[in-house]
Amino acid sequence: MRRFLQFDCEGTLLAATLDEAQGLTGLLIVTGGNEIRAGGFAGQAQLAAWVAEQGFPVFRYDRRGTGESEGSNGGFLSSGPDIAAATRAFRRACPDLTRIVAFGNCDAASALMMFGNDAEIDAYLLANPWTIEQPVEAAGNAKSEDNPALPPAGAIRARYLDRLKRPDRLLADLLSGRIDLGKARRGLSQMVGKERASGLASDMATSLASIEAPVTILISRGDMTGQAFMAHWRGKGFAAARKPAGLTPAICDTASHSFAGKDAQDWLRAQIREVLNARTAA
Amino acid sequence: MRLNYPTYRVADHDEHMVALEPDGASARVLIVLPLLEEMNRVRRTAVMAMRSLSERGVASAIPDLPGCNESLAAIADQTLEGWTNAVTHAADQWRATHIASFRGGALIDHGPAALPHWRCAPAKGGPLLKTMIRTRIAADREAGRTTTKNELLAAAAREPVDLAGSLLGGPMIAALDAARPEELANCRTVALAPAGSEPDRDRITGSPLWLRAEPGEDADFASAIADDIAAWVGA
Repeated sequence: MRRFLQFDCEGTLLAATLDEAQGLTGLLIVTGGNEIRAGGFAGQAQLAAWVAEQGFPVFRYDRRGTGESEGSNGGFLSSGPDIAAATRAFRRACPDLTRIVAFGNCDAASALMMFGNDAEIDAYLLANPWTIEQPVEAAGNAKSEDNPALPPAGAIRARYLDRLKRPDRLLADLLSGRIDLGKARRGLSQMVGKERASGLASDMATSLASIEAPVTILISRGDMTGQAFMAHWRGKGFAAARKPAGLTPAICDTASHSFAGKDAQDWLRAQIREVLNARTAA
Repeated sequence: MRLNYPTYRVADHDEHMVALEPDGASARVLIVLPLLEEMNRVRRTAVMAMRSLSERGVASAIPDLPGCNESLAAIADQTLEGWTNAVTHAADQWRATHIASFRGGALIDHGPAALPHWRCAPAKGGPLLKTMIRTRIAADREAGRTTTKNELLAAAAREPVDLAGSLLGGPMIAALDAARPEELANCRTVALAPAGSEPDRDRITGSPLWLRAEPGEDADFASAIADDIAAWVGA
């Protein structure tokens, strides 16, 4: 049974969808970018329906400033309170839940990495974590530069901008796909290896190393974002994060950032189901 | 004000709606959003407009089309005719007094013919389909495959085709190719005022959100939508 609800996050009403099921382990889907909680091509909604059919309740929400929720959009860097409020709302909606597994793709994976510890999450599924620092405001916000009261994300972003090392040109080429994939991968490794990790990646590495709950990292082999993450993953910055035995990113043979297509979706679903079924070590 | 989540029934399914229904509302506007991925990009701005309308005592609601957003129906089974039927059911069951549509929403909004209609940037189906086909071809090329438009259209005759992420059935694709907004007796049509120019009687301030790469919001556009619709319904 799919039902709809709203919950509070620091005085702001957020919209959410719950796919009910009997299981005591639930899946929290954190949405990437400014996407609505149904996801691009209703992908998250379809995933949620499938996961609930496997017996696990699923909760997904529009963070502040996106979708049907109130508030203004502070980007993923200010989405920590939303994640925490969502886990609380999930537990209120499903009081029998004993375990929440959180899944996020792209900057949602980054947000979970950085803010998950404050949200009582029992296991993480982090797909194609976003490590690229953007020199402009979150895409799509027509008036964001005019916002006089910058949310904390704005201040954080300003700090990252000061430390941005990549030339804008390279970044633009990477994001537009004009760069040859093979070359880009080697270039990224070089770039990451030569200089200290970008502020965002460095903060992610620190947070990841401090997470005690089981983490599963999922990467699309041919996806720019996934490749950029892997370049950082292999570098010095993530040495501490790499320590836990078994924390090896699982690689899907797809170029799709969102695991589109039957094969990639089947792969993703199998990964998710495995984590949902796992019992945490005593 | 809290959102309401009414449902409407079509083809044995209850479909989800999101609504704002202030007490004593002077009008009830059913909003038909752009189709497919354009819906994602416009949804937030539309909900912002709904909040503004609610403050002026105008109720509004966005119905999910079967197969889209939170719908449990399969998108590959959908047809334009089915969607037109769904909008008619939603308007009827939600007791709409007015219909407001955007872009490709104007291709499926003509069912409740007796109600006043409002259309913003109505779109023909052919160009929408062309964009989706181009996106699919470009995505295939990046993955090393060469696909042509004719191959896709030929395949659509046999089975649903993945067009830019949406699995669309042959009948839907054919219908989209030929679709044009129907002429309506009582319809106010507004276009977007080009950036930097003044809005006028038939053009409202707004950016073409449906052209963006990912969803965002345009607060000025949301205000302009609410202003125009509120004036139009006589609020």
